Amino acid sequence: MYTADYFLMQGMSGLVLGSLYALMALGLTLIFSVLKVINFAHGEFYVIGGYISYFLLSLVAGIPPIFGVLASMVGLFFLGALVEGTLLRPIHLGQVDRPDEYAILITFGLSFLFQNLLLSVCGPFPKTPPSFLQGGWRIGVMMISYDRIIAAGIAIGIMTLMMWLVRSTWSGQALRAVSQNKDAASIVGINPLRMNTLAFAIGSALAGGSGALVAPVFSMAPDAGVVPSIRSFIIVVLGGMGSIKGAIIGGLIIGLIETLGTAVIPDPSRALAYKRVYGLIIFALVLLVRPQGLFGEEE
Amino acid sequence: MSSKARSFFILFLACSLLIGSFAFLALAEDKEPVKIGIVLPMSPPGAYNTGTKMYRAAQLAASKVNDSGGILGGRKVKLILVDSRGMPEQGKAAVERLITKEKVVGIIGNYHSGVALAQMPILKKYHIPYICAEAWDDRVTSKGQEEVFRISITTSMYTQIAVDWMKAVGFEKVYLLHENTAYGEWLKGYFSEQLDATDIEYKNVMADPKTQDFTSTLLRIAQWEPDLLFGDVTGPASFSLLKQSKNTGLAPTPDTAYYGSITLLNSKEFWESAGENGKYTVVSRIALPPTVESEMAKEVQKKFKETYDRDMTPQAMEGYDAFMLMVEAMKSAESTDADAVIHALENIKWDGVRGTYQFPYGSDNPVPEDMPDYMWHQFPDVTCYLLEYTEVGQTPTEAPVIWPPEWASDVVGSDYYIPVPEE
Amino acid sequence: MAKNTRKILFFVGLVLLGLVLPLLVRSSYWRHVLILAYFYGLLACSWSFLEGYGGQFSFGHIALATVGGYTSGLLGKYFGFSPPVSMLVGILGAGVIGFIIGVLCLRFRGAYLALFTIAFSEIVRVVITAESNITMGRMGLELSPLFAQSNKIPYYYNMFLFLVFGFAIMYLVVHSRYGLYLRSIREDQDAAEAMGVDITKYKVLAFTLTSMICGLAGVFYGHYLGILTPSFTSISTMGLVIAMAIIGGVESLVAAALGGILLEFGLEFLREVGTWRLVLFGGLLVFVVRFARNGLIAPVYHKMIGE
Repeated sequence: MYTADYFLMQGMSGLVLGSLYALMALGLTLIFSVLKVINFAHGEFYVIGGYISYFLLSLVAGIPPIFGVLASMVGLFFLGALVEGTLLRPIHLGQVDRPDEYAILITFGLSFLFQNLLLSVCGPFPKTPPSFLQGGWRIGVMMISYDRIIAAGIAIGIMTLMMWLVRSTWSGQALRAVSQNKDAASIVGINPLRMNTLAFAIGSALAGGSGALVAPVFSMAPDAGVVPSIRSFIIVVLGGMGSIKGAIIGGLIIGLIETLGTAVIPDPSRALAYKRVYGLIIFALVLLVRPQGLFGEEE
Repeated sequence: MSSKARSFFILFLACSLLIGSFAFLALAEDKEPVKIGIVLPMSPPGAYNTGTKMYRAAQLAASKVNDSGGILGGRKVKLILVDSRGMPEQGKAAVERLITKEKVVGIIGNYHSGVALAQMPILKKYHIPYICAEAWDDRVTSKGQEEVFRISITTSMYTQIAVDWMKAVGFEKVYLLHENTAYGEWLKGYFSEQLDATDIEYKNVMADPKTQDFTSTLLRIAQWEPDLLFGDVTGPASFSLLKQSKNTGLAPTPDTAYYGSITLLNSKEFWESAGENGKYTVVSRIALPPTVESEMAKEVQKKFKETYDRDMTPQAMEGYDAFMLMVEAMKSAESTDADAVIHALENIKWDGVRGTYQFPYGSDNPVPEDMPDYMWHQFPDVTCYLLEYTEVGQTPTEAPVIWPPEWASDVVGSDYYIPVPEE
Repeated sequence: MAKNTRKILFFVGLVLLGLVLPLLVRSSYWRHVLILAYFYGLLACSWSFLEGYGGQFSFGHIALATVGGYTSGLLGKYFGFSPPVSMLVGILGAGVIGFIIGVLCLRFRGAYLALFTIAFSEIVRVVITAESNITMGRMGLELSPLFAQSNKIPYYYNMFLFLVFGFAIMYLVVHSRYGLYLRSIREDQDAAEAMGVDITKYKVLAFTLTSMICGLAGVFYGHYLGILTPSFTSISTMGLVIAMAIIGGVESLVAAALGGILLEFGLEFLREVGTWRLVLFGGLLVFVVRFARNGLIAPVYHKMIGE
């Protein structure tokens, strides 16, 4: 019953989703690599990104949806910088006891706060910004919407840009230096505090951007960040905390597994119901068997 | 002033004060509002969209009653809302709160069957009449509890109408996607039973209504090449499901029709979310079609639209009707005493937005053997028809009616379904 | 007055208050709130036991309570076990799961344990929902009530007893030699290990104990409400428990428990305000973590007992 076309289509769908997942995970891994902190509020940054895009596009009629994505990234950049400067800086200034615990608590607290704030301010109704482009690309009886393809394309573009920036610009190299050895970096004259803020801001911007890209496809609601947040954790652990390559490849893998799992497991109801579990099981296995993930602590 | 005059004056003052305070108390007593509680999902994880609409409709009903002078000698009615959040635990606490803290004399509401069922023992314990507005699970009324009445459709009624339509159009292969909730499980059960009695080939799949991406399952369904996809998830996922179904090229297309859930009647959110993809979707509307509605029903819907800038969905109508029914019962019983109200409800015949309400089977007239148990205190004449959206931005009342035949719009002719045009 | 005497008096006072409250609080609704408050208090306390003393940040408490509750419910439904027996098995079941998690997570530091327990919590929720033909999924699993009468009084005393009992066990552990080792693990795991502390044993012990307490809370919750649904296992409920423990004072069992009780009350009180009350809690949580790490109730408590 399953044709080659079917697997091709499911596979493509998986890769498309995977690149969107990877973008968000990239933000998380960047934050971890420089600040050594797991951002439990990553999902809420994603949601805020989606909302910024929605509100901009509904207030200013007729502008291309890409501006929504840009606005989200800029907005989250500044929000991330603000959060880092006020709440996370004390860790690096040595002002808190048990910094690991503090980092979890404060980002988690933010997540709790933001979710309920969004719920109270924007209401629970999901919002859908306008599509990038109607219609889709056909293969036989099946189709992938242009929206998704465009979103994935933009995501890949942003990720490629990021990788180039990290390699080629001074800031990018400074970030790498701080992620590898904070003290050595500061000896060389790099200001680790500023790099922390930059990394967190960029990481948040990536989360916001992925929210804006995904919102036309899936809609955005205040609690829509929980699942992507957990998925980002899974990807980052699978790929290796702090590894850019890992986040990207991990994202694609998870996208494929979720899609193919749902596609082939005999009972369609179970297959769909357990969609998230495939990733979670991989996550648990990686943590137990190979905690450094696929690409370890490189990069 | 002489001492005699003074004492007289003081006496006079005291008497007037006394009389005045009695009068005040008497009047204040009269003006004590009649409190009616309403339990609805108003925040996640409950179906807050529907809950909010039902609440607004009930509020409209309450203001209407108060504007015309209240009930039981000028007493105002007061609607007291509690949020069940769609969780049975919360629902139970909510009802306790309504009864013991707010001292309500009647309760209406509920959308989630799980919540409604969890509350029923508490209603029994405190003996408070309850009109169930929108929980479809048979057990709400099949348990035969005296305090409980229901005005919504039941699951098996709903599925039968859908199956009759499928037979009439001549669909041969139907794929049914249900939510993995009580509602979905019941639907699956009844559909299977009723479809087994036809020649229609069918398959079922269950989905979490919180799912964001149905694409791989839809691709899977597409492989089977059904001619009808019944995509019955409620809530925001219903819009995503439709969009994704269209975007994977499955339905609605010239080869495959799409029958969506009642959430698609929220036309504002629907068209915003689905856009072009929404054309040619078929939806059930559990109300009277515009051609058959009373003037009063049209008035109320118009008022709702003006006040809230949203269409009055059938569930909102139920919120309205449930409130009015409770009030009518109290008027008829001339009291808020539970037994009197229950008795009044059992004998009521009242024209609401969705038809003429009555509850034929009750303590005086038990449910006969050949009728299902859920007919106890159940409004039997719930109407349900099918419509199909043909233009972007159409409201449910503008969309052509495709089933049942006696109400079908002229556009349709005798086919009972408007197929998607070939590109 | 000797410190210990003040402390003893404080506890005795609280227990007496708890015993007497139902006579003062006659409304069935507020009794229900009290019962729920004790439930959250117990969970918050057990969370602080694991985090504040053992240094292990877990998101799995609600899931463990759910496991306990469902175990008890399923045993009752399919095998006809009566509540006291099924509840006991439920508690043990939660303990076993906790033990397994504890063993699996031995090597995990900081956020990794948090992440793993998030995964665990989600898996629990998805499995319960997906296997709905056994667990009744979202329809809700019905559990037989603990007591024949629907009066709240026996439930109140039952939950209060569980709270006191659970608290007492954790208190004893914390103030024993084991508690000292646990705290050393929290402060600096490597140093503790270097000094010869058997961290494996104590970490696993802490996890198992806390899981059994969660199971205790969970089985009561299930049989009190009479119904369990997977939506209970959401991360937001867990977040609430964590917020309660932190705002109360994560390093003090008493403060955390009181945090749970008082904040649950606060939540009910502020119902009118709608979802803004959770915004308030979120803001309070962030504030406390940033500026008042020891919590808001802990300093008051310490002052009262003269520490």
